[in-house]
Amino acid sequence: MPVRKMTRIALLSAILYIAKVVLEFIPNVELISFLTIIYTLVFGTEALLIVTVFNMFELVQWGFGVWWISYLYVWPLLVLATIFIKRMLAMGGFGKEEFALWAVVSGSFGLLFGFLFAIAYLPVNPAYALSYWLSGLLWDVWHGISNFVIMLFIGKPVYLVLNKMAV
Amino acid sequence: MKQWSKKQRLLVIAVFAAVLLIVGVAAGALNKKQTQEGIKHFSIEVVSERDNYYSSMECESGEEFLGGYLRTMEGCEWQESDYGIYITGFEGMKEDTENQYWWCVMVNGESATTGADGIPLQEGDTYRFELMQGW
Repeated sequence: MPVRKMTRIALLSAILYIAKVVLEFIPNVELISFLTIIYTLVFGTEALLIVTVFNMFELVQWGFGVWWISYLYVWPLLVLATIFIKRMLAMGGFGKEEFALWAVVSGSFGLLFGFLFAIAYLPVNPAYALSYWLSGLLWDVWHGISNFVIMLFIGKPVYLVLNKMAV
Repeated sequence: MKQWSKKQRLLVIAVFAAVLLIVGVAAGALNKKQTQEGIKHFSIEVVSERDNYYSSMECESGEEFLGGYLRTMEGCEWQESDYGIYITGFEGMKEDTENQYWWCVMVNGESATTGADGIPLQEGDTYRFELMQGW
């Protein structure tokens, strides 16, 4: 792997981690979904490595738990969904700079976050997984709103800045 | 490269806003807690394997939610958080986040999926507080 790429992965995953820590005091408002989508738009599948390094940071800080298993698939899933939608746009002859759409994608991910997170609890206790999801559904709505607003307002400027790094 | 029209963008945003609204209303209805009025009689168990401790007591309260009762319960240590009451200890047995010890709340043997402020006090229920290790 080229040193430039390796350095970029390290830097962007560190930004992801710092973004999480900085906003931890506000429940269900985060920049990880936003940054993951932007990273994927700019760097494509490289974002999979970035979220993996981020997951390792989380493991080092918090230790192992079932929640970490959720993290292992939730963030890569967002990367893959973004790649898929980006390709669908390209197939329809559209560019990827449709930030109203990415705001909806980010918002939908926030809305589904509790559901996706609860999947890891299914093998342990399906009833617990279901009640965990349903009891947090209102927080998921809030998560969806905040993700949507963040992407709608700062999506394009951050994307343009990051695009310059993608040489 | 084609671009979305303003109308298309507004339509996508409006559909998403409608979905949020519907899910929000459904979530509110699903999570509306049925509380009982008047005095309720219930059991409280406190268990800590780490401290080799077990206690069980019969209690009564007119509070609507478990959180309200815990705020007045002797021996319960707690603090307020964004999510409501956060239990930090019982009878001097404190949580220990460095070693991943935390107080788990159980209702009639099942792990609670909300904080104590979201658990309605019900006649005859058993609320168990167990010191667990590991996130």
